[in-house]
Amino acid sequence: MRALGAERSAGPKRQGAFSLQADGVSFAYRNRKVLEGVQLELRPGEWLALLGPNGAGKSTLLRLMAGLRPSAGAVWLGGERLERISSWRRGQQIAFLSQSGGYPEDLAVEEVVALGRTPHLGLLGRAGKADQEAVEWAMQETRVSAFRHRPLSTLSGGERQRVLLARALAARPKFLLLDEPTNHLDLHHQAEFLALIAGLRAQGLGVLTVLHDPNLARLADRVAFLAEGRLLALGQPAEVLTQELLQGVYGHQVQVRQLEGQPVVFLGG
Amino acid sequence: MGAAAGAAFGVTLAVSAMGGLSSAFAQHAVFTHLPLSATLFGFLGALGAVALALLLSGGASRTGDLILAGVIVASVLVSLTSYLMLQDADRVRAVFAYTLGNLAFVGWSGVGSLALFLLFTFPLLLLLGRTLNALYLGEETARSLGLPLEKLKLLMIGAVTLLIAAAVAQEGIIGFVGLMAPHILRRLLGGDHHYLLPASALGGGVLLLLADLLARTLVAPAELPVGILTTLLGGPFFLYLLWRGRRVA
Repeated sequence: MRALGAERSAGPKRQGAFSLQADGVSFAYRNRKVLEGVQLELRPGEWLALLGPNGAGKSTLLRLMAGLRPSAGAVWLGGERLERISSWRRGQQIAFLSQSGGYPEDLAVEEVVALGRTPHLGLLGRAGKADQEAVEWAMQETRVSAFRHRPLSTLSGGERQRVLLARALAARPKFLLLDEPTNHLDLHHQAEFLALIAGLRAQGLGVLTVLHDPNLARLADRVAFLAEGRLLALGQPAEVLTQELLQGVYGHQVQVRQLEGQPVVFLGG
Repeated sequence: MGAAAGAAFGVTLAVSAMGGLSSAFAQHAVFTHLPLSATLFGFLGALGAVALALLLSGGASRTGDLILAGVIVASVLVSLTSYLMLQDADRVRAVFAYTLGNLAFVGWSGVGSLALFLLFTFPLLLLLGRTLNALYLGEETARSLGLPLEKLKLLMIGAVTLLIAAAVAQEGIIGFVGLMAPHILRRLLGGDHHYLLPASALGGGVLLLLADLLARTLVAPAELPVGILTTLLGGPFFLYLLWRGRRVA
């Protein structure tokens, strides 16, 4: 467990690999500080889970790293500052899936997924062969091709979430940022969705997910634990998800057991 | 967003002021068509009202603020329009019928100018069909897709205001047609703007034609202002939508 403080730098911390880095990022709503000096790197091909109690600033950090809000400190995409690159190029590299987005109920699955090509097409561009291929690929990865012609309103919660994931993938991004993607899903669909995400790493995609449940977060490669706007711990699930840290943050009796080398968290003592 | 109220105010102001200035003009207690200067004032009034609403809300970034500013601008303009009419009751009698919405004033030159505006703005809206579909995903997601939302909103507001101003300047405020047609057609055709936009344009026209037919025949030989009729029909229609929406939710 490492405590990480605010550091300022003129460039991304780790040169070489093309990563998405929050570098001493702070954010405040009026007078209320939400994030303070957060240092976090999302690497290609890894699944990083962002964990923490309500109001810790998880969703805000996700939005700052997606370039949706300006922040103090810098967010680096490769060697460039995110705010300096065009919004189209940003959208090509970083896909964002909100937990409370609108649902285009009337549009067919295929049309929704095709909207993910927007960063490549601009305002007036027409979709070409490469766009169609990307849409096909995204639909296959998420297994939604079978109901491509059905309107979104006729799908179940799990199917709908997979379509929205396909929409995010259709841009063929380098990084995928998901805000509580398993929130409204039952156990089976949570497992199914997280297996999909885990599979995407093999494509070299860097995935950052905000999660609430430590037992889902333990499936990730690394866990970043956020509390009161600061990064409390960062490392492998077994290093971060300790009884000491969870009890300290949540103020609740917690037991952490090892199961096949993975930490499993139980409530109560 | 105050466009219609602005147009009504412009037309009333024009007729009232010109009535005072020129006695020849004043003799026309009832017009067969609106004078060109009045439609021009109506057009400028609509543009001015939207510009004022945008100024008050500090741009188009916060949609809720913009709608609120539009409502405020509209109600102030409606009050001013009523005041002008009270001052000038005789001459502005025809204008009163105009503000209630009336197709009787539209001549062929009016149709021509409407067609001209449609020719320039409608293709732009059609080209933006895919982008408009992307807005279904929510503002945040749209921004994550790279869409320049503020510029896009200003562009849309600009194009739509031009169309509204051109239409309202000719025929007054005919409520609910522009709300009813897209809602009905969305249920029939789905939400894809590529189909919905042209269908709504045609459907709105058909709806207005039917409403006008009713307005001319219901109390014949007198004639209802068509705007009153569409509002009387449109109000319950939206109450029904609201009621159904509650039951689903």
